[in-house]
Amino acid sequence: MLEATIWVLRVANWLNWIVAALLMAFFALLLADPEGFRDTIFYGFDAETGARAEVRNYLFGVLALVPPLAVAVHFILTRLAALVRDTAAGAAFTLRNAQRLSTIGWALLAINVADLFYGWLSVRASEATGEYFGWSLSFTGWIAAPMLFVLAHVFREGTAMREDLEGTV
Amino acid sequence: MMPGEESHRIAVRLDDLLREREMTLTQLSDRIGLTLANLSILKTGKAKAIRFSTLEAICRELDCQPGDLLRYSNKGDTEQ
Repeated sequence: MLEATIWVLRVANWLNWIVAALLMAFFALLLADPEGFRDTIFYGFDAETGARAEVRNYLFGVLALVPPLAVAVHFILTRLAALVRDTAAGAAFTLRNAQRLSTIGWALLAINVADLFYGWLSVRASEATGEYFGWSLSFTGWIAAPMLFVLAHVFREGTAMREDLEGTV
Repeated sequence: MMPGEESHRIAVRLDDLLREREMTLTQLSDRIGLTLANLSILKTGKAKAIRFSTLEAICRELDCQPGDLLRYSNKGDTEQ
């Protein structure tokens, strides 16, 4: 079961980088604008009313978020896989695992901040075009991140307790 | 001084007691049912804590009091 989980996490990380690479390729095409590529993408959005500029800002902003988000997701998935691997090996309460949980917490926090920025872009684009750009405020990540920091602290305490127990004869 | 270092102020005189009774660590290990590894940890002063059950078993087999086994030293010297 745990082996399968590690495998799924590794595949997910590969997918994360593949999707990030594809989106970056799309971003590069948008910037290079070969054969009126940008006009094709923004077709239907009126340039006169500023809707096109707003949608362009939205798309550029979202695509600019991709690299840092891919790195954050990489941190989460690799640390989680290592955490599961060590736990399966019977070494759950270690300082390294506490550090991994802390790293996951910071990565999740970064994703939450990026989500707020994405929300701001979406609201602006929605207002300019009258179309819904699909964002709603979610508190799940904001609750999960502090919980991970607390869990990291629990793991640090657990490590100290385990070391004490190992020194008990 | 660090808390971990303070714990070394308690000296374990297991070596002396075994020598006095002409008993080996392996023999004591067999009699009290504690692993040789754990007993070695206790003997070398690397243990962080000792269970009452372990103390009781050692005192029973070596016919001694807990005070004979453990000594407090304000010099931090475990090799008394």
